[in-house]
Amino acid sequence: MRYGFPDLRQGFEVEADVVIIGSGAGGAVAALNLAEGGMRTVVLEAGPELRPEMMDKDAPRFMARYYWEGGLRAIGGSAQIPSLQGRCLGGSTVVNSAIMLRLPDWVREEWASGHHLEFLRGPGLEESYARIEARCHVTPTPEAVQGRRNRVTRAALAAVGMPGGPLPRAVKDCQGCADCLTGCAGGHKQSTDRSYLPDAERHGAQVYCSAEVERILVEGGRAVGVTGRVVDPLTKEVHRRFTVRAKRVVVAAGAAHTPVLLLESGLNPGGLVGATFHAHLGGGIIGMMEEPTDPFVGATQGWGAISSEIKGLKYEGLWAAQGLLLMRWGGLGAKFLERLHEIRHTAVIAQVYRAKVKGSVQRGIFGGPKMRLQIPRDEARVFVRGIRTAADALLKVGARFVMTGIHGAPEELRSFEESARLLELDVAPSHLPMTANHIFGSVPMSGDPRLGPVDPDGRLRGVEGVWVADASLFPSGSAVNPQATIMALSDLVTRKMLHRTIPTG
Amino acid sequence: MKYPRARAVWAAAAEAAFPEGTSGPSHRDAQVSERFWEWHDALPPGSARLIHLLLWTIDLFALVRTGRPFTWLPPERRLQLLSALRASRFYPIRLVGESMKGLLTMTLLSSPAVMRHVGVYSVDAHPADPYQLPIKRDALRVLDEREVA
Ligand SMILES: Cc1cc2nc3c(=O)[nH]c(=O)nc-3n(C[C@H](O)[C@H](O)[C@H](O)COP(=O)(O)OP(=O)(O)OC[C@H]3O[C@@H](n4cnc5c(N)ncnc54)[C@H](O)[C@@H]3O)c2cc1C
Ligand code: SF4
Repeated sequence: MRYGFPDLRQGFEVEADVVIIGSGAGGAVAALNLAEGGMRTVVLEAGPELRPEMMDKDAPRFMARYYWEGGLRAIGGSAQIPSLQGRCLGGSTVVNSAIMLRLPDWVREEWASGHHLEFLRGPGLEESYARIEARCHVTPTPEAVQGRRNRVTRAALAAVGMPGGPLPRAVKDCQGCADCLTGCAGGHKQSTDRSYLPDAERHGAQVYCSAEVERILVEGGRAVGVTGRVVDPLTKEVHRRFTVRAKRVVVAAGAAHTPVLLLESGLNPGGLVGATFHAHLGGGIIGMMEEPTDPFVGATQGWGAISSEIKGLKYEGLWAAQGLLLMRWGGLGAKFLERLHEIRHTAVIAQVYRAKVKGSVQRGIFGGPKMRLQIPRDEARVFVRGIRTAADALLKVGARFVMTGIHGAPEELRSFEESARLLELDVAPSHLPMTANHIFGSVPMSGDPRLGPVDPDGRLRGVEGVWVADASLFPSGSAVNPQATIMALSDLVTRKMLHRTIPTG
Repeated sequence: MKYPRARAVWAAAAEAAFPEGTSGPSHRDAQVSERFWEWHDALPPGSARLIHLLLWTIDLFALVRTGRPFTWLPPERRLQLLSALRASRFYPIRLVGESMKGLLTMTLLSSPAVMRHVGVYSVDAHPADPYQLPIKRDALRVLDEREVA
């Protein structure tokens, strides 16, 4: 059963066995497992349900409506880094590129030994991945929808010794329209609103959209439910309040919101909630090719490779609506207008880097999350090394020039000598055009209570009846796209939950 | 009309950034002002406040730098000012310039006029395409057959 804003204007009060906050990668998996396991399950999602006719080709308007903070959220600290999160049923899985990769062994080992998460060494994680991949139809992006832009990426990465492969994605019959970041209007992407929530509802889960949780209710050291407000999806106007009474609360609001909700509810075991925060630093290198690439068609992200030079760095072909992806491209004025036809010749390689950063999440002055990251200068230099390799890759396959957007570098690099000079720049993080859409680690899981507020079963320490099941759980960056691992951890946590009774008294 | 000063600053920036008389679509062809305020109205209140702050900062910067409000400057001077902000050595000032450039470019590039000018098409019918982009269902097959770099 699914309720939307028009049904909820007057507020509501319900009772359940378990209430799940958030319907994204973590929340939706939890919903299916718990409903299937026989629990009366309620899912609360702050954003609206997104139907195909709402997946607007007008990308800025789509973002304003269905991304948190209208798509203008940024992480502060050493630089202002844009960070996107979906605000709709299915969360960020609705607006992401659907790449599904398993955790590399070295990260898995780092988490298992550094955070005493012994279960990561067993077969359980692999079994969870397999279940999730089967349900989401994860398959390598077929040649038929790669398009010229992804093929340029493939040739470029191969030219610098990184052949890579077609990216595995959660899609059924992808048409290669390159619109993933504004939702898949054809319904091909297997975001959790398609792959998990309908089955959870068939098993009795009740899904409430436009229901933003403000606080977890705790009495005598036990969770007893949650309370929040009904929000108009278009005007964002606040309507009536709601309360859901349940002895089990699963928090899956994403790595930005989950710590804020816990802090607002007075839940901060060991002072560790929001005290850590990690992100992959993303960047894009634009190549201007001789031949048209028609970049606006072909799978959004069809080809990728792990860097053979820099540990934790990954390259991927990329496209998004040109108004979003090329915001920083070129200058302004008459000359810029005369160059617009060049867009048809662009190829973009994105890099994603698991930098060693220190971060935190707190409640901002307007109530939302305030994220901060301190990026050391030597990590900024590693980021530039990665960009230089991508620039060389594009030059090797005939790019007339490449654009890195690095402050202090020439706007267009036309030779290997020019790209090599990037390494001589005295770069600070604020010189780099970065984004961070992979965020995690704000309420980490650890076997050692001094390192993480969540135990290896996903339970928040110091209170009975609160679990965490989203990207917040990661002890650090995953080094690859995180969705599959978020889903797998939520799968493991909620399966264990089914076997645990809540003590009464 | 709401926010007359902010609207005037935006319109003046758009006029300077995307002038008429080039081979590409101008601010008028791309309806940069109308579309920007439609977008602004879809933003949550906190984000809309940030946009106003940005536009006030541009106005203030012009006043400090030239002694005149942004809208009183001739278009070439406005463009110079926006470029100077982007090139600043001081990050907070550069951030203002980059944000303004980003918003102007976002609004321009996502307009139907520019999509048409660039030659954007789609491979799949879209139930909510206000732009009526041409649909070329076999475009990816045709692209496959061409030689890749
Ligand atoms: C543009 C983009 C592209 C990406 N591409 C990929 C990719 O290709 N592959 C990949 O692996 N990862 C990708 N990611 C990252 C991936 O999507 C996220 O890491 C993942 O979805 C996070 O899962 P989550 O459950 O932690 O949060 P989310 O999926 O964001 O879900 C959290 C949900 O909680 C809701 N919520 C928040 N606060 C409240 C509240 N107070 N009350 C009720 N509901 C609330 C939110 O609206 C949201 O729906 C991408 C991300 C973005 C933004
Ligand atoms: S590329 Fe297009 S068809 Fe394929 S999953 Fe993304 S939005 Fe859907």
